[in-house]
Amino acid sequence: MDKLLWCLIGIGFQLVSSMQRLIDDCLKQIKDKSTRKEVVIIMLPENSPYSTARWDPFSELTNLQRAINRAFESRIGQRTSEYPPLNVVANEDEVLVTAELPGVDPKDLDITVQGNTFTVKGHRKAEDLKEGERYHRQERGTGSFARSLELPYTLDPDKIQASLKNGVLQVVLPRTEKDRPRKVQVTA
Amino acid sequence: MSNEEKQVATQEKQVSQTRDLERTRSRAVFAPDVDIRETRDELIVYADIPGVPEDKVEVTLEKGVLTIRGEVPVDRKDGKYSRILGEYATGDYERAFTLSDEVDQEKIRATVKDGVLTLHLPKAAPAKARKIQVAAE
Repeated sequence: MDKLLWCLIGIGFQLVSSMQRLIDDCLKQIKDKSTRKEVVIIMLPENSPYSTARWDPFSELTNLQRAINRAFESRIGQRTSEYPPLNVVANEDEVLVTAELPGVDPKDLDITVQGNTFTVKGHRKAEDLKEGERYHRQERGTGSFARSLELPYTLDPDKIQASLKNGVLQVVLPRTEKDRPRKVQVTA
Repeated sequence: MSNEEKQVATQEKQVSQTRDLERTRSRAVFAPDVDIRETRDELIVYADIPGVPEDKVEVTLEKGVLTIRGEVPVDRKDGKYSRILGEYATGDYERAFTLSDEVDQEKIRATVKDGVLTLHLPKAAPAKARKIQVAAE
């Protein structure tokens, strides 16, 4: 009975170390492929099989998944297949969202804000070909699009300003007054 | 039919290849996406140049090469902004096309609206065969 237990523990150890190697290899590959500079450090959780007798093989898989997710998390300089690509900057008072939407009629653009979620929806019209006409090149995409962005704080829906100028959409999303950080005066 | 085949020969060159001189502005230069449509009387070029104001668009025609240039003003924002999400880069636009002889190069029209440059390139009337007198010496 004792032998069997030791045997099991041995197998357990081997499994864990091979799993860790797998994670490391995986991360190495991801890091090599992407240009991201952030260093991902993966550490075994406190309740790893090294420290306690109880070992849950599924937790290792969850860790692996989490590590991979983290490796893909960086959002600056990220390429997206979603249309339109967005640039977002923020300061203490507001969030500024810009998007390039050439050829989009302002009437075909729909901007909504709910809580801390900002949504832009729209449509880029396709020009119909008349008889006897044809395309030599067709690189510009047409159709409908929608993108939502969840922001780290509540937005003030009444104070949102949106402008579409030269095909560039700029939306100013102010933070609600009560959500803004406040300085507290310290009296002596 | 053979005429039509010739019209297609609007050749695209990559920006880096057309460029002989260095620019004074150190900025990214992109080739805008274009649609080229042929109607009975003209070729129409649509180019996406978002962010380019009307007065910063330059269309030049030299030796049968049509060049589109668009300058995007550098965006200087006041206030301390930090970047949260950056999915696209901004820069100027440039793209050149070789025009075939069938385009009447004198009558090219260009308009800009909502970040889209539209170029109308009317087709020239078929060139008449000219007889050249050979003078005997």
